[in-house]
Amino acid sequence: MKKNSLMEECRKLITPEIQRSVDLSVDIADRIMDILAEKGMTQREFAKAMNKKESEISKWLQGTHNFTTATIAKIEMVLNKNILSITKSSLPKVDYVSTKPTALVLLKVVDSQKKYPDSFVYYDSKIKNKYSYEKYN
Amino acid sequence: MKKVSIVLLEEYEKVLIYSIKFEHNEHTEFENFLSKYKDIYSKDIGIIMARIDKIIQDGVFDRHFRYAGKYKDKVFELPNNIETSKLRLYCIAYSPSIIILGNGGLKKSRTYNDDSELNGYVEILQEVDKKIGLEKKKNNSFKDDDILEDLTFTLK
Repeated sequence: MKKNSLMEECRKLITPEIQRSVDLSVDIADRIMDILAEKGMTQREFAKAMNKKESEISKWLQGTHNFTTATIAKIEMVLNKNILSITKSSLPKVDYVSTKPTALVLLKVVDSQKKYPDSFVYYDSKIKNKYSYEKYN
Repeated sequence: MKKVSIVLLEEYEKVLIYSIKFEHNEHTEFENFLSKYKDIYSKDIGIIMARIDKIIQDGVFDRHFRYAGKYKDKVFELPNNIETSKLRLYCIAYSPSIIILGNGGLKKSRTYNDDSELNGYVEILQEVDKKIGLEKKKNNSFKDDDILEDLTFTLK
């Protein structure tokens, strides 16, 4: 397989975020096309069900549309299938989230099953949505 | 009159990547594009390279591009509407297994037609696309998947 050294050098500029964005756009279009094929539904029928022009649906299926969550929800309702699946956290729920602008806050964990006795979550208010789970001594 | 040849840059199982090279130029048009922008617009070059890699995996399909050129030609633009980028790269999506990458630049106007530099790159590719079409007509054995390497044309 022939490779070009300058292209190889430029491939190093592909960050994980860029890679994910490109993968997602193609995967969403592929998923919709697969469901349509599975249901034997034409683009025209899908457009009618979505109350959209066929040209717009065609753009979606080319993977050239930046979908909003509302549009994805509507597609899922019309096709009666999931387009995206979200991985939910297996961590127990936290009973209190500090609104203080401190970088690191200790949070007590609600653990009804006592699976994690004496455990706390470190909530980093600067990096929202990311918290680590550690055993508290 | 400018002489231009088609040069194979990379070869994969599903896709062959070509570019065009003007006579007396050291590098192809796509290499000139990468060299010019890789340091200043590294994120944008990363986006374009990621999309090219997707094309390598998937095949040269419309979904990866934004339309450019005219309806009758095979000239397209990268990246497509999903990725936000300041750069535009022009190419010929010749067949599901062949892409010819051209040159591009910064998007400064709403459409490429309003920018003489970008419009120039599109016009070069439109002419190359037309010349390949004529070559196909002349040569009956010339099929879509034939190797285009070393084909040379004279452009206006």
